[in-house]
Amino acid sequence: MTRPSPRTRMLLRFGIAPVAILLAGGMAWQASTAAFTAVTRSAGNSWSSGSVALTDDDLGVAAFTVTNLVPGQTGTKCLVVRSTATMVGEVRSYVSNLSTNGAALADHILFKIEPGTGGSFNSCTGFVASTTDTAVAISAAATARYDYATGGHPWTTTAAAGGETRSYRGTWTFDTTGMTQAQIDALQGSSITADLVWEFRSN
Amino acid sequence: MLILRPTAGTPRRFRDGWTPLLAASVARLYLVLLAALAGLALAPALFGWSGSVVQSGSMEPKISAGDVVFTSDLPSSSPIPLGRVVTFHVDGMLVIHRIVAIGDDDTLVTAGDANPHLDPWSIRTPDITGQARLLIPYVGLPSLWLTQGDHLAFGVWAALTLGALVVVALTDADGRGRRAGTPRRSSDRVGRSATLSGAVAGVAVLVLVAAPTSHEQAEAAFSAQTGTKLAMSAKAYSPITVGAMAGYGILAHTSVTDNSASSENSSVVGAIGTSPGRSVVNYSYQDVSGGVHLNDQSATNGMSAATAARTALNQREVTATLPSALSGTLPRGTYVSTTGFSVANTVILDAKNDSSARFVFRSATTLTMAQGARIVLANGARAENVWWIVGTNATLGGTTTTGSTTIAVGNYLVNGAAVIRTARVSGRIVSITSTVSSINADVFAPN
Repeated sequence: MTRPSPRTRMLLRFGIAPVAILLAGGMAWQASTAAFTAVTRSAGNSWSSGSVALTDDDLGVAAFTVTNLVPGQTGTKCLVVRSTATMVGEVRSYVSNLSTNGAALADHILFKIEPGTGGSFNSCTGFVASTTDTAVAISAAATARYDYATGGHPWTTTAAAGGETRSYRGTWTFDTTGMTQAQIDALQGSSITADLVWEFRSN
Repeated sequence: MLILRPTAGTPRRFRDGWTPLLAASVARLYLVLLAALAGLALAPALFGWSGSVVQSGSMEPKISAGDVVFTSDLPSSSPIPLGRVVTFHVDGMLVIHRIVAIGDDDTLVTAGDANPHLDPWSIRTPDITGQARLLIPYVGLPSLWLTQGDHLAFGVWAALTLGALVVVALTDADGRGRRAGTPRRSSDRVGRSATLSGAVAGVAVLVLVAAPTSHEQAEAAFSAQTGTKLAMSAKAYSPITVGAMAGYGILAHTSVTDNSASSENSSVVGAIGTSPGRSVVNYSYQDVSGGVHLNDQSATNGMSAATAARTALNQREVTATLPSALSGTLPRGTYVSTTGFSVANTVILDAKNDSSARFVFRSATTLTMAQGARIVLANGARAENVWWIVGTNATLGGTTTTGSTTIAVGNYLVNGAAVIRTARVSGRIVSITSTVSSINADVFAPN
């Protein structure tokens, strides 16, 4: 094999720069048109990069549905949240969409969520809390923890194969301590709804 | 002076062959590409476009972490770019996602291309900081590695770049020296060439590392949600109200009779009514301030109100089941007895400064107050908020007309006969099914 001729050397030496510059331009153009001119989500074929899914075991049943609440009534429900994300991230919980109908019942439903292990939606038997929480009025909770940024009970998920779970125990109390009879009576028939949200975001 | 001139007889030197030439070419290609991408990453700023380094991968596969995205301002007058990629502020982050829907109230629904879910937030047009126009791949990677603490990746990249620089510098120097056919003494050329390549690559590196720090960091985070509902409603009860009983001291189904000796006439501050009975016996008109109603509309309404109040009271949650003998101090509440209530001495009803405090006593059978027994209202408790639901008969006061007076307080709704003897009642006596009889009794109906 001969050595490269001076001509070849010259060609390579001075031809490469324009080629590289054209290449850079082409890369930017190609990437830009692909990402910014298509107008549909390419879901389905884009999962190679990872997937996230957060599920719970309530089977669509509202965990904390209680009608005909009476003062002093209290209840507990457990929920197992499962993350099958393929990347590490953090799950936080918060309250959203609090809506009240009638009097300020939300000020008198004390609520707390404790993370832990064990238990299930059907029964809290076996649940062991890993940290404790102080019950606050659901209205205060909705003011303090209303989105991911303000969410509480951070759970760092590790993208473990087969998914990972954490149990949460929610405890509520209809607390009328310190209220007059007239104030308590005024709460009759009032109602609240809220979403308790667990949200995962990748790091 | 050594003159190097290739001749057929001279053994080939390795550095004159194809391998170093190709290596140098690849290195040069890489360096110029680097510089060109870096230059591209700076140029859009001249148009007023702003760049962001993508930090995470929810827009895969089209936009990856480490890419630099340039956005142009989106004038408020322009239409919402449905289906296009935009950057926007939410939750204190700058996010690059695609607008996938426009809600009824002009909220925008966004999603990452690789996210299975729509984004949890809803944004509005003013939140949008720009529409994505230009994507320059890879350029932000070095700064991403640095900010994410991936020093290994950064080091490998830096070493490769440095290596490419060295290769180009060396072959440049060699090539120039030989091509000119001049003696290879050109350390100045080596210096100049290396300086040039080094400067270009150095600027490129600076741009790659520094430029992204002047760019914002756009999150394209993966997210997913789950959750459950909370829906609670407080029980609603029928209202507890005196209603049409107001003004009545005594109401009875059948009859009201005063059995006092003539010197000990009973009196009622308020009215007496019977319905459906029409019998009020031995009460003189001067002893009844509110008049007597014999099965008229007022008396009928009063009896209906008594039944309604009893129904409402029976709905209430029980605070405690008490032993039949009542004594001591009780806070507000609904108290029941399965056997019957009796009051031997004094029972204090403590409202704790809540004038609306309600005291309800539900006896399945009888209510008996002994001679001289007293109900005492304390701390703002009011007679109209005290209720006695009696399952059978009520006897307020002892069997004799001598001795101390029994003090009864509240609305007595009796499902049987009521007897009041040597007693003072602050409230009213209602026999829902039967008769009321009195001896030496005074009834003061609350207004």
